[in-house]
Amino acid sequence: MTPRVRAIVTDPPRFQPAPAEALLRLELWANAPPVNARFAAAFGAPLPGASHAVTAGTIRAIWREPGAWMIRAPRAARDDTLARLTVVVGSDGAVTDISGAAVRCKLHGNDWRVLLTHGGVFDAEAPAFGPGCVAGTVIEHMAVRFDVIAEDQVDAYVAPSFAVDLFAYWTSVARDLDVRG
Amino acid sequence: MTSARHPTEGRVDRSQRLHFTFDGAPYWGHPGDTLASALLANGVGMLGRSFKYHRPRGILAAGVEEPSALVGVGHGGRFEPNTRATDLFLYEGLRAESQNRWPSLAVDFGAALGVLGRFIPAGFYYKAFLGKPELWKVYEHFIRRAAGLGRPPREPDPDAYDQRAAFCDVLVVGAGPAGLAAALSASAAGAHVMLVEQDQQVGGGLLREASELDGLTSEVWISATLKALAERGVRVLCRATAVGYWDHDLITVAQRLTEPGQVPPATAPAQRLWRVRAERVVLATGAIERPLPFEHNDRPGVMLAQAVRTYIQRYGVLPGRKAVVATSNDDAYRTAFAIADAGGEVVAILDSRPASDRPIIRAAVTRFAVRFDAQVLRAVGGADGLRRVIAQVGGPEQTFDGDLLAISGGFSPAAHLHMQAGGALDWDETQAAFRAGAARQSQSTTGSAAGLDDLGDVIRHGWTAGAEAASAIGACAESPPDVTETYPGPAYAVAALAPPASADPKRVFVDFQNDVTLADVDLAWREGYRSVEHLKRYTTLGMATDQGKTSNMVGLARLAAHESRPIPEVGLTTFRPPYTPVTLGALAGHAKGFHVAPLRRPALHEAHVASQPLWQPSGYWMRPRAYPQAGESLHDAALREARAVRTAVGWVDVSTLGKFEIAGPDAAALLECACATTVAKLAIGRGRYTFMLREDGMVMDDGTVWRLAEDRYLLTSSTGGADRMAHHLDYVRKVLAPQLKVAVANVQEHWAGIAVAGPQARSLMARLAPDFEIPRHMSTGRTAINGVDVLILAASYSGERAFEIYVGNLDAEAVWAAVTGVGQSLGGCPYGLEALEILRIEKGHVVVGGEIDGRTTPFDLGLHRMMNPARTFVGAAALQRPALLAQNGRLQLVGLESASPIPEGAMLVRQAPGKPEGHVTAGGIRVMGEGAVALALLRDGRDRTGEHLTAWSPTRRLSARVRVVEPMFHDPEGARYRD
Repeated sequence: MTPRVRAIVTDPPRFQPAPAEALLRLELWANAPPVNARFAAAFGAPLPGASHAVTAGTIRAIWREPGAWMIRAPRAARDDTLARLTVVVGSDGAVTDISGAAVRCKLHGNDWRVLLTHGGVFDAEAPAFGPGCVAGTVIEHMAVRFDVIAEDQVDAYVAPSFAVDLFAYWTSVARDLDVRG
Repeated sequence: MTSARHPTEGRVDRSQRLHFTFDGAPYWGHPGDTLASALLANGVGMLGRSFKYHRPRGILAAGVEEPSALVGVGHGGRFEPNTRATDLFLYEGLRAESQNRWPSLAVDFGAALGVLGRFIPAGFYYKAFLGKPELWKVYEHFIRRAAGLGRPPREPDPDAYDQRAAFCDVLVVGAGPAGLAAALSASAAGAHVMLVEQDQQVGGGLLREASELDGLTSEVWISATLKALAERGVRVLCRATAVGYWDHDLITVAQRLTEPGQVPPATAPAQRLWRVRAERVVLATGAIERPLPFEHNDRPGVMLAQAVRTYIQRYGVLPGRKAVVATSNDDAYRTAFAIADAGGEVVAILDSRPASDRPIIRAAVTRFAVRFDAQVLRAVGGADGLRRVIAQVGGPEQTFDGDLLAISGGFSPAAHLHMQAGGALDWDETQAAFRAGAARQSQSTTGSAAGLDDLGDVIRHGWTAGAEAASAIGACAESPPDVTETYPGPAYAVAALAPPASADPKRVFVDFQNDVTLADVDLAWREGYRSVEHLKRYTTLGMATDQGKTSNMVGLARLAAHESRPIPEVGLTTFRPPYTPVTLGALAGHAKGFHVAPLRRPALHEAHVASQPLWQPSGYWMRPRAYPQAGESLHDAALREARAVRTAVGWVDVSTLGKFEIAGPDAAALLECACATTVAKLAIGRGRYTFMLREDGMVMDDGTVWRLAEDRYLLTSSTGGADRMAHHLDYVRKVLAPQLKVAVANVQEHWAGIAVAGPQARSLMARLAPDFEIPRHMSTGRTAINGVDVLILAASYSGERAFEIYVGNLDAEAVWAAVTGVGQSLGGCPYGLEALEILRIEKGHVVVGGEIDGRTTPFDLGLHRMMNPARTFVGAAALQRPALLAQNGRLQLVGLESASPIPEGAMLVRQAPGKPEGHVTAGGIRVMGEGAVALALLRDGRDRTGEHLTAWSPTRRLSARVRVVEPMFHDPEGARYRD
């Protein structure tokens, strides 16, 4: 059995705002398997399944909802990525530039799970929520999406209008994080 | 009272002293003490005055059920009134004060009310304060001064509060013997277990008993159990009370990280509210001992028997030297033994039951004077404590001298959470108690809460409950601990809910906290209050901070006796959350002060900050209301900004608008379904106004729709309705039309928006993008400003030639700076929401939350001409309802004009005072002329053009004579849109 509760504070989270990157929304309405095959051929990995994310070359594909993904790419490669994705989806879907619609914050430190249980209703301590998993929830009334990069790192995506308040909240909670709860 | 610390007994840490004050007098106690035990150890037995009659009140209980010993604790913003001294653990520097007395606890002028008690019975307020309504203003002052128990702090609470989520397979509520056993068996089966306990220590009843488990003293067994639970990853929370059991097995747990009034460590929260989702919940919440009904049963020195035992065994305090024990069960005999073993004198045991030969009673008879068929008639004493007890023993009265009366009237299982979870209650006739019946959610009840009172039974039942709760995870291979007690067995409690027949009901207290007597219950019944819920509200029985934990059953029994019905037929008042009081701070959590809600900052926030505008919250957004210049009022600034738009050019941040990109071969079909206007015929590069309906046909929102490419559209909607519109589009796409080949992307924050408006707007655009072919009204174009790609939508909200510049969020400030530079050279200025409002009223544009108020149809707002009723869209069918087709009698959009200001929100009447026929939705002024204009919803308004009415606001004492006109005051032909 994997213990869900650790006994002491070991590694309180630290924040690192990520530089602005291109964000694209890929949405399919039909023929997902062939699109997935074309995506894998173009980018080196298939689109991730539900509640998962995958890195394919320079892009990160993050599942958003059934039939829809958010693609993160270097800002300089936005137009190129947009064009390649448009070819991949063909007539089976659409790609929309949503750059700037979310900001990414990297949370480093083993205890990010504890931090994310504060101010919300999300089971961040579930052992199954490991690297490669994504989830969306609401923290302090703000919609947030998590992408687990490693056991000691998670990326948080939030609308830029909420970012200042959310990061201020996390900073105040992390200052005196009580892992024992 | 002659209470004092015992030299050796108890589990407090005698190696340390903690200093505290009560009503300014210094005392000390030990870590592990409650304020109640520490005061008793210092010989203080009177802690406050009762609510209504200001009778002296001492300590009745040893836990959260305490109704009497309420104190104020802390100081400044940390002051917490109505804190139970029995549920307040001692800390260095604790400052407590008694309540409800003036000028002091010993000399309280309010005690005179006790003499007048016969004139202020239950329902006194309802009878005494009838009369002219105007007199209420006089009464209210005095009633408010007299009402309430403690006084709230006047200063802001300086502490931080936290809220946290937790998930588990099994949540065990209560860490007494049953709860510990349940947590052990459930965790042994492999379940992820969470154990919450309201006390500072786990153990519950074990802390007051001298029992052995698996050959270990209870103290050692508890330590070993905690170690085992920690090794299995069980999360154990102390000072954590499960206060609410909500739908879908959500349990809220209020945890005190510091005691009331205590200063938390720097940056640490004072309390944490947990939201726990559990697959299964084991309720091991124990039982609450009931007092006995007799005259003056509220006197200091009268205590619950288990509480007396707790003070002796756990806190090492003997609450009195000469004790009388009065009981209706065997459990109180243990208290008699504890008193005697601690050096106290047991004057007598008064048992209301007939004599019996059980071992514990046989043992008591050999040591004490035990009287059977004995009922306490009266307690005699005062503020200085108890002096004697008068009882009926088999009929005749006998007097027993003593300074402590330990009473036990049986036990009420704490079934509060079970009932909150929708569970039924079953009536136990023998013990005269309700206990948990059928469950509606995933809860089970165990231990004393399930009506068990033999320790061995309690632990075995708890063990089984835990194992069963974890059975979906695995099987528990271990066995419950063996229990060894000197006198094992149940309590054999019998009903003891009525006083001796000769007792004066005016002096028999039922609810100690609210000074409710049996006479009050009798009076309420005579006056027709037959329902227990009505009785509660008329007499206040079972209300306030203790919610009748010790009083409900006696009052209920009295009502049932009057009704000649069994108690379960009379029923029980509903247990609602919270189980014990929760501070508002815990409920608010992080959200206090300016951050009572999250603040959304648009991409141009910092640019606005530099301009030092007046701010206005708009939903979660914070937007500039106006940009006043030195010495300018809001009104003057807004008027100047609006006039700049009418005469030159103005620019406003519209980044907060809802924005959606809709792409795919069926994009137009989706929009045709979601919007009430026709979209399919829109040419590429063109746009139009649109609005959306709810399924009931009411207008939900409005905006514009633009065809950006063959298969791609941009839909805008209002700021406040953006989230609602996202749901609306989701619903249409996924539920109503899942077959459509279409993708919807929310681009609200992808695009920042700047609207430029005014006769110089075209010039401004030409200077910003010299080679750009300026699009005509309701057309689009793409260009670059300062090297930044932008999308231009030629749309107007102000009534002037206007352009909305959409720019990527990350580049918005550069474009805003360019607009500002060129705009100022054209005599323009930025404008805020106040000017925007003035401009849109003058142009007659409706707004969500104003004219679109959820009750208006397209016809009401004059939008029906844009609809094709033959088309299918959301809300179209509902518009065919007869009530909507009839049209007459509905509130319709009109304009109003007047020479004087028209008060927003005012009623529209023919003559004031009069019957309202509508209301003013938005009041404004003529930007370039004189007088006031307004938009309003008026009954059958479109047929009433030219009528004169009064806009009347009696609460603000404002009124204006108005004339009904068309809802368009500026450029009705739309000439100013054209170049």
